[in-house]
Amino acid sequence: MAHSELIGKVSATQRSPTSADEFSFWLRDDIVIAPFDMVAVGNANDSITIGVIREIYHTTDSENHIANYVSHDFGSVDLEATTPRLGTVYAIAEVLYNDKEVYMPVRDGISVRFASETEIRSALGIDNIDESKGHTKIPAGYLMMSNDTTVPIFLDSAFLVGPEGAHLNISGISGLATKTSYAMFLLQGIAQKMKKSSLATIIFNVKGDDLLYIDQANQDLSDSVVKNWQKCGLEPLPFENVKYYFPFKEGAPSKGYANTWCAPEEVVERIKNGSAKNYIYTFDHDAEKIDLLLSTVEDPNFTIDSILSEITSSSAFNAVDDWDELLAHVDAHCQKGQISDKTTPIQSWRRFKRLLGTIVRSSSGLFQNAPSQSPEKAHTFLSDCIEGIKPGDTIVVDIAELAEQEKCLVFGDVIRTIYRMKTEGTQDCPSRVIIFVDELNKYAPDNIRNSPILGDLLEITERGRSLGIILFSAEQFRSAVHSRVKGNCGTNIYGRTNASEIATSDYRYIPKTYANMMTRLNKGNLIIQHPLFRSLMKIAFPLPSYKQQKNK
Amino acid sequence: MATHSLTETRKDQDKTLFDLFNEYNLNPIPASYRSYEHLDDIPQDIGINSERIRRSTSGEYPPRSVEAVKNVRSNSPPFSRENSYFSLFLDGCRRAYYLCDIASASGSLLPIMAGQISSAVVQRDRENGKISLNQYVKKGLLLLPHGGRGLNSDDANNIKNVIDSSFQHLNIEAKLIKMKNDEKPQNDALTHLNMEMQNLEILLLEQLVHKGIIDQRNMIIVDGALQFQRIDKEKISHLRYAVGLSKNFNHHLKIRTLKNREVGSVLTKLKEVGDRTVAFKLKIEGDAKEYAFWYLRIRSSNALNYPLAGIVKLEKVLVTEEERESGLSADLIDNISRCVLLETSCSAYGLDFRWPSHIYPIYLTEMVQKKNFTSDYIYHNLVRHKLALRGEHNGAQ
Repeated sequence: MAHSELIGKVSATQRSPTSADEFSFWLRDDIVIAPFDMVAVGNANDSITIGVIREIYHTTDSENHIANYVSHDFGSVDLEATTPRLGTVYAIAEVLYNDKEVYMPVRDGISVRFASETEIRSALGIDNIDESKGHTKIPAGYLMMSNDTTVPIFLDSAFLVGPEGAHLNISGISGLATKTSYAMFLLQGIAQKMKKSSLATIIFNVKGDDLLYIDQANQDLSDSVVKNWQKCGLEPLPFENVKYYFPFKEGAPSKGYANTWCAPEEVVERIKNGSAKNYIYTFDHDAEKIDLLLSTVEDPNFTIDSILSEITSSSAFNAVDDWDELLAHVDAHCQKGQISDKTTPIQSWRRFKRLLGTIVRSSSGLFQNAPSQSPEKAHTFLSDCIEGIKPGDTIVVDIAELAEQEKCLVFGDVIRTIYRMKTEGTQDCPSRVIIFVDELNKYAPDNIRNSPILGDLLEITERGRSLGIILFSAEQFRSAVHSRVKGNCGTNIYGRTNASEIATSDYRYIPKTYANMMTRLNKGNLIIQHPLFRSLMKIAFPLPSYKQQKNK
Repeated sequence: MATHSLTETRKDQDKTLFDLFNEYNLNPIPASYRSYEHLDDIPQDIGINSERIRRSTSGEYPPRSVEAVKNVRSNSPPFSRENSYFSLFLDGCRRAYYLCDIASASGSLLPIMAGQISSAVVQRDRENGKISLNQYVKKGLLLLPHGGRGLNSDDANNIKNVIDSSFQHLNIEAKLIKMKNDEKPQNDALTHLNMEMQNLEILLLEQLVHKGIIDQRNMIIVDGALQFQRIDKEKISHLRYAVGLSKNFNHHLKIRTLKNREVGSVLTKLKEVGDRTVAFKLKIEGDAKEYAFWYLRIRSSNALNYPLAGIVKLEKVLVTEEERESGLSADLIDNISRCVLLETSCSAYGLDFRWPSHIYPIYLTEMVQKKNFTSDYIYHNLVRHKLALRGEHNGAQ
């Protein structure tokens, strides 16, 4: 096997000895390297140690800046040094792997070269993904090194979607970090590589019409992008078996009665062909979900909790059929002397009435007193649709145009439904359901002690792996997400972020150079942490294979 | 022959140099571990007195007033790295060790000294300025005083043979030297080391000349004076393209053409970078060589803590008859000076206390040699190092 040319030699000094974890090496003058490049070095017992570059420095024999100033004729900026100062570039590499499990420190003076593709695959453990034992290689993008070596990177499905590990979190600045595009790339990879698995996907569209055309091919893919897909072992295909669920909107027949950014003609067409419906919430069907509607409301004394409990269990509310009647009954509890309630103060009822009334009345049609049977309106209950999910299905739930509390309701409804299906062992339920949601910080914020949605999310992230509920989540700022939710994610992806974010404790374990690189990442480049990898990796991935349409 | 009781019980394979000296009744006394590193503090031209400075002849033509100061810097320097006269730099290094004292049969207490000597030439690429090692040679010496106040010559030769075979793997050989300095006999050893070092420098110069590496367009700067003690008359031409640059020189040198005033009094007039004195002519008695030398300020005195810091002494051998007669052309001296001024960037500031008068390529040449010296520990413990003995030695019974 031909090895690449030598790029430098290991350098061990009194102050910087090599160790089992890292080594330094000086670089040949004409070589260019970058953090995350991988290098190979000979070690004891004829073994090869693979390291990933963490830091790069240039050093000279100059004692201090004054010496450099003096060397330029006491501050002449026009002067070019006749004899350039003796200097070299050296790099620090983190030991990733040794092919014979030898973790002796590498010796001074040993030659260093770029690692080959085979060595990188071995070092990353990609070749250890045993597909005969139920593990699947999920394409995660490709690694590009400074010497133009490109290596496709794979995640182990057992650590991505269970059973060994599960859940994925992506963080980064909106618009720059390409969080949604990468999540969809992974989902497409899972769809293509795990076709035989009993797996379904639920995707929340939270912004514009980003994910409302995923069943249509991207016609603007260039040859190089197609090649990048193929480099990853995938074809640039749209998603299959996609069903769309839009929030119902009153008085919008030309838009298919959908509260969405999707093109009206598309909505109408999809409703006609049955690939889309409009979801609603009625009191009769969804009474026990009101807690999700108020999940972001502070309730330190559990007064809202007790009110909800009364609504769902008290005989006083037995006659309530719809939202209007509910509000009327609640209103009655708000009057002094009408109905006495020794446990819940009237002020709490009034607060509850204000909160619920505002949400229900200002809604653009999500809350209906009863479902319509008009085919144009295409009413449906989201939880019922979720309960009918089959292996291979991809469900897109559009919540982009909903108010914040409505988003919480819908999101909570979906995850609760899935959780119930799994815990009750619903027949024909796919063995794994992947739920992808953006803006996770809205549902699992760091600053809330408890909420109904948070509780459900904690159940999923802490126990979902064994149930087959996998959460793929994204947010702008990882520091804004509840620690137990993000802490249970087996795979973490970092896109472009800002300096104040990397100063938070979430990034404390990341080497400084890598963290600083996160503030400079280009679109399409991400830093990935996965249980299979012994170190963080920087990967690139191709443009989306599905149609993307700008908001109108 | 009396033998030391210690050697009676030691087996041959355990015998050390210390033991060997005892066998010859030299009664060695181990010295404390000191290196003579500061002999460089003494200027190399300290021994030159004014008698050797040619009277009434300038070292340059057309002649100028001996007290005149000229500035060679111009606003648009004609020289750069690409066309500078200098692309090669030569320096020698010496590190001395005091091993022990011995008592000779003549009743003298004489030092046994060792030393590491080396010489190196670095070459600078004219395009990118990168420095590379062109030539390098290193030797270890152990100096044995013989004859006169020293060891019996036969004894000394026998000891030398044992040392040469025992320390061959360390590249150390013994040299027999005469010690004539009654008060400080170690100075004789140091002088010999200096001479050996100069021999290495001459050797490298010779090789460069034979290979055609140095010529009119690729001259060499030699650190220190060019007054090599032992260079054959036929080899003087090897110095044709060499310029000696001394960082440390005798400020009190009296110059006849200055009416026996000390040269330091003229150096105080070198105020600006690029100021140079007129060139003087030097002839060593009993030596066929003649030199032209002058002084050049290479760094501004404003930033330095001593008025004469930043001044270097430059010298060149006068090779042709014309040069010996009239000296060097002023234009040549000016151009050499301009090329030396180029060498002030970058500097050894912070790395060497002599930085004001030091040039960076010579600093690198020194550093290469110092980093490659054998550990001082080896030399300090030479007397305790086991010897490689073959058969019996005369006197060691």
